[in-house]
Amino acid sequence: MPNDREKLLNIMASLESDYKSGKISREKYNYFQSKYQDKLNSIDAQAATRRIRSMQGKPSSDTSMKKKTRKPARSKKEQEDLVQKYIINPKKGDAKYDKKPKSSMDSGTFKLVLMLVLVIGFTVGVAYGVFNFDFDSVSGNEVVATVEDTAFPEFNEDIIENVTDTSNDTDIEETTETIDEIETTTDTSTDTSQGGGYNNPGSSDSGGGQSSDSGSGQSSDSGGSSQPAPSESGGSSEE
Amino acid sequence: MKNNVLRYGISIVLCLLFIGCIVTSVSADDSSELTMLSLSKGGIVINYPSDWGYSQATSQYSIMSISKLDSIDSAGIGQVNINVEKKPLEGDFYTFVNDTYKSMSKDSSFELVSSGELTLDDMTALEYIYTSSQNDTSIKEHKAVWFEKGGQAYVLLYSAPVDQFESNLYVFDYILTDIQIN
Repeated sequence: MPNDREKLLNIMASLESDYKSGKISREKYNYFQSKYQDKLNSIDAQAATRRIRSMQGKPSSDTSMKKKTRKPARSKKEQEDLVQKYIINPKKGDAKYDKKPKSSMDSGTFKLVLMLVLVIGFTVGVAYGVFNFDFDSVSGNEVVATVEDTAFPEFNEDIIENVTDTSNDTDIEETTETIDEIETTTDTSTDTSQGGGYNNPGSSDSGGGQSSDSGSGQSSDSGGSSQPAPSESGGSSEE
Repeated sequence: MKNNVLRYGISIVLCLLFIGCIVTSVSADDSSELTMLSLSKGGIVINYPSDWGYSQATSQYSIMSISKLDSIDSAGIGQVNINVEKKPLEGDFYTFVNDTYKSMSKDSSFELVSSGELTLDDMTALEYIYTSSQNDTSIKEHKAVWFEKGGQAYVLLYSAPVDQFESNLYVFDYILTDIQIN
């Protein structure tokens, strides 16, 4: 490994001399310089990793490193500097470490897209639910009509009895009217007899009618007080 | 990498929108179809089709009632109705029910068509079918199913104008077979 590092340093030195002598262009020089620098850094990092692992007491596959661990340990300050140099504060220009922010940016974009998808999905889901939710199934207690039908109706049992009462009343009224007629007839007959007293009761119908008319005219003075229409009564009595 | 993520994201969004559109169109077609609604009150659960709606009964004994939506007149009164009522029993259940219809037989505006027994949710129930006339103009037919539970006489009454009675009877029969009495 140290040989590799030395070779790399030699190559970088020759590269620089070539660039200074004008054998290669500036672009090529920068390109190769960064490449070799990366390799050099990786070699240094590997070496540092081995040292750190050995300091932590972890086994290392490299036998050469085992030998190194047997060497007297460096001072604590020196070890901390080593750790800080290769782990905490990597070289800023290192392309290897430049990838990390790039990957974090990609991750941020991915998270943004993921969030966008989730938000859109959530919004679509909520909108779908709101527009298609059957609120009637929940608020089913909204009254749409009034029901008047019942299994416990009020029965009108008095209908037949009312009809019977009405018929009785009618009979009574008719009877009363009949009585009135009878009374009237009686009164009329009295008048007629009085009239008949004035006329010959054994006379003919036409004669009776004449006598009735004349009688009524005569009797109206005397019997008119008892019968307001003796002529009608007289007519009915004759009938 | 960045382009791939964007591409995948846009693809997922488009897929979601596509699925959403399909589901929305399907659900729009389904909205015209009838769904089943549920009503639970007083320990009784019934399921009824969505072309019926919850109604308010004027009877003081009513637990719940539903009306067919297209039978509601301009005054807001349902003509095709199902009313679930209960009344505290006075004496024996059979006597109580028979007395109700004995009283009905004395009213000429009611005419008993038939009566019988049936099984309702593993209980013996009584069924009465009768007609009633209001002002000698509208004649309604009724089917009442009575059962006893916890000292209460429950009755499910289906009422409809005579010409609509048979055509909507299946809803009442479905409710009878599906009813849950707790």
